[in-house]
Amino acid sequence: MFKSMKKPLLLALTLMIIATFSIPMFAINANATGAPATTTAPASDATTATASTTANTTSGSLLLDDQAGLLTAEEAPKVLEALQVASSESHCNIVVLTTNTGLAEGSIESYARSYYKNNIENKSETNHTVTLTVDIQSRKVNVHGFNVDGSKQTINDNEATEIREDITDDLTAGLYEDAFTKFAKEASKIAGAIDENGNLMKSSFPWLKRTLISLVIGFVLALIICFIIKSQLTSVAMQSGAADYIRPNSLNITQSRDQFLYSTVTKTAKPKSSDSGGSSRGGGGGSSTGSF
Amino acid sequence: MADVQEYKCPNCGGALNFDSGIQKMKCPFCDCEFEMDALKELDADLDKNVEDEFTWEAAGSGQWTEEETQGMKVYVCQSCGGEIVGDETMGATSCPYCDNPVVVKGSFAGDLKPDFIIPFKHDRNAAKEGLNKHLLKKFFLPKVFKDQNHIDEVKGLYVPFWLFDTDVDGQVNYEATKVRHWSDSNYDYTETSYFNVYRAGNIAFDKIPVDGSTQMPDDLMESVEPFDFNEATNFQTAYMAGYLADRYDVDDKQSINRANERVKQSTEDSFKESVVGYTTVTTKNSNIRTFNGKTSYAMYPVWILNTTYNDEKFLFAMNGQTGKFVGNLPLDKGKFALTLAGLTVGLTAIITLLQFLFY
Repeated sequence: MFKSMKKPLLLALTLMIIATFSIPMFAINANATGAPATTTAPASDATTATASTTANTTSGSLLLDDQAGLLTAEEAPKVLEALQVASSESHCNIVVLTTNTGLAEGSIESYARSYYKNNIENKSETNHTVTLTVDIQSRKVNVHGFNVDGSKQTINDNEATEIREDITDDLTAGLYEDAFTKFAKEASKIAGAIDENGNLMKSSFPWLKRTLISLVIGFVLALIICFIIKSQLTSVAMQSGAADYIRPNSLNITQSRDQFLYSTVTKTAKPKSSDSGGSSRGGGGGSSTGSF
Repeated sequence: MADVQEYKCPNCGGALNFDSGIQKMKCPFCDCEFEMDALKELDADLDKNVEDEFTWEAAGSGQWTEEETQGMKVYVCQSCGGEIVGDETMGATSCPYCDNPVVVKGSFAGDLKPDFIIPFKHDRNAAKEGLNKHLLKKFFLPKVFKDQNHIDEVKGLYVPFWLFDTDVDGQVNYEATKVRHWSDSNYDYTETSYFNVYRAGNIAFDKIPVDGSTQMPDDLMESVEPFDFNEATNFQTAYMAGYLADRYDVDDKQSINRANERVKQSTEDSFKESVVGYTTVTTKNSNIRTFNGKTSYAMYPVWILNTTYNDEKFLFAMNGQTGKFVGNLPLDKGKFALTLAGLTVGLTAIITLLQFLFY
């Protein structure tokens, strides 16, 4: 009985290992469970920051820095209010920055980091921060998470990309108020798992998510295995051709022509990896940059 | 006045324009570019795409002699209407297809006489043993079916087959692709190059069998293939002693379509083997012409076993020449559901554990 299941079980084991190591969703909060952090932040800073956090956040004006003037006088207060509410609910600074200086892909991230260092880090009541930076000249947009503790992430790369992609259409359409308000809500929702003491509470949610994903993968694999075993019961089918009745050595190809017609090239943006190197103190969150 | 040739884009079907800047034909809809020569040849290949032409010579008109049919009787199934032929001493008690009682209709007459016969090489015991082996290592087979499976009667049956010989001229167009991947710091690139691949040539087939009985399920008979025609001999009634024979009720003309389908498919597949170096190869169209087509009539040996489980009939067949045993089996639905649930829980636990260990 078990001999007949040997092949399907071997297949299942292979698929399982592939699934475990290749499905990016499993990498949620990878750093939170002890894997090496892609960004290193001095441990002393982390301790200090964690100890100093309270339920309050950065003063309102620092949450919105519209250097590019994308928001009208009526829109700006509404966005600021949305950012304040989001920041308060999530115990995390939800910040929107706009520029008009033609920042390239790498520079836009540096700009956000620099703003964070100069205006927020150790100056606000929590260092947990998610920034949205929009450069209207280069039409680049970046979502970046900053953390209290370099070994934990406020948001990861996938989450940063998810937020960025959700607001790209509004940015493209010039609906900046909508885009920034949506950003405030989504960043607050994702980063909202930070408790009043500034500690990340996200660990429980990803485990539920992971278990559900594991269940779905487990079910699909089990279904594949069951159908492979079930196929042993079927041995009747029409033949597709008459390969058994080809006269030996009768195949003779008299004309061959292989002709190039055209080619297509598709390109897919690489997921932006999180900050690297020890220079970005407190910048260990996920990051995602794209165009709009 | 010169003819105006209009080319359509092989990618999207849009009308192509000549782009003087690049000196190529360009599709205004999908931006694909094409060399003029490539398009001309592609069009020429497509123009060749005429109807398939299948030519066959009718089966021989061999007739039974009076001596040969003298001792043969036709048995008719009261239930499914199947007609089988056996000798007078056969005394067939039940239909090989549905297991219901059969009655003797009368003397046998009217059919063409087979040209060839492949005699049985495997006996009744081998057929029973074949069934036992067939039931082994079937995890989802109901235990009751395995334990209480009683095949009351195993019948050796000569099944009428029309055999088709033919030479083939073929022209096949394939769409082939080559895929190349590369990356830079920002993007992953995938380039897919499309090719029109043309192959022309010839091939020949010998003795493609097509089941000539509607009582015998076609898929069951094709599943017991292949038969080795090298072991066939000229038909003699002596080989039928102790066995039943099915009467053909599908003539060679009606069977030709199935032979043509198999010839066309195998020609495309065989030519395709010469198309190498591509990531994918798909048959686009083919033009097949058969010639020197010849049809003959043969009796092939098949052991037939049937049983009933949960009011459902299960028919098994064993190739009487090679011993190949086929037949679909019932599913133990309860065991299937339990296994699915157990595996789901087990695999979920292992995947979760692996995540915990590695992340």
